[in-house]
Amino acid sequence: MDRKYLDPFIDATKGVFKEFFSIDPQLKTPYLIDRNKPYQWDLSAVIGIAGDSRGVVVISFTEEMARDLTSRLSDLNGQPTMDDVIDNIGEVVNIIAGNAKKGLEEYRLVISLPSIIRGTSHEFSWPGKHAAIVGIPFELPQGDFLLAVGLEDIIKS
Amino acid sequence: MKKKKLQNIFLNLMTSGTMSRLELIPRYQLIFANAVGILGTVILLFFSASSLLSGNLSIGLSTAITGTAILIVMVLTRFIRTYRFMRYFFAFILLFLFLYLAYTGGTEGSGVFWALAYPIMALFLLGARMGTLVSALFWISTSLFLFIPSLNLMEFSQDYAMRYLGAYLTIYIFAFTYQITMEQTQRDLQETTRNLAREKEQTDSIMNHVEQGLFLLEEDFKIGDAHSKSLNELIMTDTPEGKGLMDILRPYLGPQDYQASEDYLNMFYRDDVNPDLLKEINPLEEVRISSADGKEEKILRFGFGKVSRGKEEPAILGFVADISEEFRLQAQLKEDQASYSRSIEQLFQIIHVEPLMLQDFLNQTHREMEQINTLLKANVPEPRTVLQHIYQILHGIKGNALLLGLETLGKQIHTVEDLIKQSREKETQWDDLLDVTLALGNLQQIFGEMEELVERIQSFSTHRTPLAESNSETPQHSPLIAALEDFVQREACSQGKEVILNTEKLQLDQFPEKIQPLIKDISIQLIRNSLAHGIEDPAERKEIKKTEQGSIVLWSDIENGQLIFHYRDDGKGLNPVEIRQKALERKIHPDEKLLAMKDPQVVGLIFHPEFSTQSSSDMSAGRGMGMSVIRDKARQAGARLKLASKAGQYSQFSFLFTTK
Repeated sequence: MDRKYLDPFIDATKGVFKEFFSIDPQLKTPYLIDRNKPYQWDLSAVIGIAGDSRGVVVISFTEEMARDLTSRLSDLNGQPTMDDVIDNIGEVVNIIAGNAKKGLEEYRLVISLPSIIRGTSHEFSWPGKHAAIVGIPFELPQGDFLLAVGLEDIIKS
Repeated sequence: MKKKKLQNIFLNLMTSGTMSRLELIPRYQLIFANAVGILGTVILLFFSASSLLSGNLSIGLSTAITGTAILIVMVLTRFIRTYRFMRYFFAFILLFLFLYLAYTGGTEGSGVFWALAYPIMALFLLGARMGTLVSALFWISTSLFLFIPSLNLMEFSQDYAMRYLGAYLTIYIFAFTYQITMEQTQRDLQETTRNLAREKEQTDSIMNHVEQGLFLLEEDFKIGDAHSKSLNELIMTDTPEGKGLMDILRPYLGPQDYQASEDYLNMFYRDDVNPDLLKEINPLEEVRISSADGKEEKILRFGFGKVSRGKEEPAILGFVADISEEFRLQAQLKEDQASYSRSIEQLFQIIHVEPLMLQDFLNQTHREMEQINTLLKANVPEPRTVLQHIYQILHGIKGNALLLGLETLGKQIHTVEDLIKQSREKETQWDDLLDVTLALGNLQQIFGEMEELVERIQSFSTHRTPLAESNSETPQHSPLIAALEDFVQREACSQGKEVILNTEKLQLDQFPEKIQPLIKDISIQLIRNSLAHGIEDPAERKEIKKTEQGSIVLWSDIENGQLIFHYRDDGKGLNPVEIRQKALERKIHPDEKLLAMKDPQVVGLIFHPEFSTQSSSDMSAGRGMGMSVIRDKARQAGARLKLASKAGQYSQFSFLFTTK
């Protein structure tokens, strides 16, 4: 996994949160994710990556965080429905992916539209058998969310 | 200007407005026709006027009509473009005119002379075929009134008539030959032009589309006008023609390469050089060029050949291709091959390790990597502390790897240690943490692959019965001791020293299981230090009257209820003077404090994290962290550490564990 593939996603995430939620997320220490342990998030948006490097980028939230963000976006007073939450989170991650794509243009990578996965302790099939998965926690006043990247370099450059 | 304008008007008149549009022969036919027409008109009208004035109405009128008719046809032709009609019209006007002259005889019978000019005019105006027809017609007509008495106005004699007809025929034959030759020449010329045009079209097609740059070098290595279109883009020059190739390449070649290239090109002008040889020594096989703004860069390959041109100086044929992609792929290939070699190397190293030890190592490493990850997850505010911890753990893993002979893995871990060191040396940013995490991720991948490999090897080897076991007579050492012995030999060998490890009085099973990995770590670190700094090389030892072979002894005993692990080497020992000097250099403590310390205290300085008696770090010696790590680990395990040393003789480290 090359640093240059990660940076566009990190920058896009920071940018989108700044623009849509007017918050500057703080970056916490990155760590390695054990692919065998269950994932401890409730809602994940998965972006697929193919090309010189292959794998997934996953942005995960707890249910509370997802609801909180949704109500901020749509200015709803009541509790947003799960569908609203999924739509809104999907939108946000869509924009993140779109912005990240620009940063990846110079490399031979293509990215997919995000899919939303929902459910406590869902698991992912990360690429490769031993490729490392790096988790980057973002800190917001109301809690954390996680940007996880598992990429396997097909062509090393 | 005026002269040119007049010329244009004249040309316009004579070609009936077609100027240069028609082919050569038709154009001159038209000019001739117009000339005849104009002259004819003028003469006829003049003649008509004089006839009319002298009362000859019939002649006056007929000439006037003829003259006018000619004029009308000329003017009309300009507009309705009936050039052929005009030519035929004039040919026939001339026919009748000359017939008339021949018939009436003219002055003293000179009328027939004009007739002799007719075949030439007719052939010219109408071409070989029609001209022949009309000339024949004329010939027959003149024959008629030369031989038919009633028509023979001038009463020419037979002899005269025959001679006239003969002369006519002769002139006709030569005029005909001449016309045929001219027409054939014209056709040949047209055919040649067509062929040339077609060939040029093909050549242009090739030159415009060929990907490589093709060009000729003339005098002074100037690029010729005819070159492939792609040349411009390849050498990043808009109009290469006329420019010197060497001038264009000068900024991209060092002075030696430039001179070599010029010399090389000059060799093409010599007759005695073998062309195959020339190909081999081409200095311009790889030239790196870049655009003026530096944004574009490419690698070009030039090739040259000789073009012999008979008596002229030979030219040099040049060829250039863009090999940037090829180059990149080759570099990639080399990289991949190196990576592959490393993998094979690693595989060999793994195979040589005792499987249980390897499994042990992997398990321990797995636990330690988890430890590292826990540290990361804790998100400690001060990144440098986290990095320090991670460094120490990695250092331990590296030591274990080296103990087992996993050199390649050791190197890979060393690289990550370097990365951490760099991050700690400056203001540590979040970015550095990410880089370190990624590097750790790579290591984890390697460990994972190793684990998989070990599994596969184990499943393979359980099917085979070991042969050596039954024949062994040597006492069974514990795997750890065997590994340590191997380790000592390898390290000694790489340092150019000779050392024997003595573990006779070491009873590992006395130590609780939890402590054993610590013993291992301690041994590894101390052995590495002894071999790197402590024990002298054989020559030096001989000089100071020691045995050429150094010795390291590990033993254990129990004293006052305490389990003790001893380590001793018979090297240089710990020299307070040297240690104090180094501490001063490294400014570990303020100078006064250092100078005031007593010797035993000074010796203790070796445990300071920043202390090292080596100036650079390599894999064997450390960065001075080794000893402090040992002390920390010993403390963690609840052991006390005692130092004993005699400068020039020995160093001894004793670890006292309290038994529960």
